[in-house]
Amino acid sequence: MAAFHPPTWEPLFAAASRNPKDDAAWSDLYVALWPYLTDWILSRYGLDPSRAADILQDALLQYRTKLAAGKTVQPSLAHLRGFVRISVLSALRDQSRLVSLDEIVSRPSPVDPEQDLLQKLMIDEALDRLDLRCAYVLRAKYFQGRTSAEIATALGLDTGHVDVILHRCRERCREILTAFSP
Amino acid sequence: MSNSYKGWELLYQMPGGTKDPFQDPYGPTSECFSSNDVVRMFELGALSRDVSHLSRCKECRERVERFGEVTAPELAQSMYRSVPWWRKASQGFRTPQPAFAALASPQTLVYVPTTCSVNLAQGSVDTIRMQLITRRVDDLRRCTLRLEGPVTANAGCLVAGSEPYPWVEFHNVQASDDVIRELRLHNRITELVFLKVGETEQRLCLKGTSNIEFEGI
Repeated sequence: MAAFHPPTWEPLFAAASRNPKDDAAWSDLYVALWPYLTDWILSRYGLDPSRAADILQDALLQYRTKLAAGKTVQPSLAHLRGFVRISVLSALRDQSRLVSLDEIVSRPSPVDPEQDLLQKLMIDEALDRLDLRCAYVLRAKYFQGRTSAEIATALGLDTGHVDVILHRCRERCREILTAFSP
Repeated sequence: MSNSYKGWELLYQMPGGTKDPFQDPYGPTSECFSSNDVVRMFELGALSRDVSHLSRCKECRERVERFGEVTAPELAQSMYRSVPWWRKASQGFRTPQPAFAALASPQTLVYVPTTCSVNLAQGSVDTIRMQLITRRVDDLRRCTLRLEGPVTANAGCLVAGSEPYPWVEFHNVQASDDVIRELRLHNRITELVFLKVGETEQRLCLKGTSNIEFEGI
């Protein structure tokens, strides 16, 4: 009988990072990670399924290149997720899907593209520190462009209630981000 | 908010920064699936409680349908094993190569609600009925449905129904010698069965896997 056991990520990352040129180890890591990361980016960012594979592949290639160059010192799932986020956010930005994201931090996008991406990355990271409902409504609103009415239908609430939740969740997200201001 | 990468690194040190991102449910309700749930369902088939939630949650239905549409595992594996990564990186390969794309096929989530009876004397299996949670109903009408693994069947048929997702039935199913041998030792066994939907054996348009429970009669 086949039973379900999620992979233990540390040994896979350790094997891949020991020798960044070891294709077999990277293939094992990619194949193990692929379904999990695919669901992760599809559910949270509303990406087109046909683009998900390309975006993941891009992220993994960049991550591997950094490792080979000795620029990444902590190979881990959390670190790789950072690369995946960069690929996803870049793709969403290319589609102009992140126009309103800056509303969360109440400031316009920085002019410098790198700083702009960093600001969006930090917002995205901060969302993962919120409770599940906040993370869901903020992503639905600002990453997937859904209206309050659509979110209200999914949550089984009225639109006014969703607007209140959105306001509170934005506040909490700002608190997390400002906690790390210099 | 910090304007340096240091801020991003600090975020990782916050509570929750290093937790397994695939364990948390994600969706409008606390019963929504985690990534682990989604992967488990596609590997081993959906359980009754999964289908029950799917019937109530539009978000999770769309999530599962979209996940099934992504077609990359074989593609990625083939590319990584055939093209050295540094060569690929240096040549700027960013898109899947057509030669490998033919290997990939979408997946369907499979739900088998009942235990299947195996006639131990003849090695035949009663009808296997399964629900396929997929958008690709047209492919099911057009292509041949086969079961492989511990049981084999060559001509599944689509059963029209009022359900949101199609049901298919397999008749004339044959159990393998291993299954019959195991069922002579145990009352019930659970085995992983492979569903393949395609115009030919090589050209699949849909595939799925599910645990199925068998009992001997």
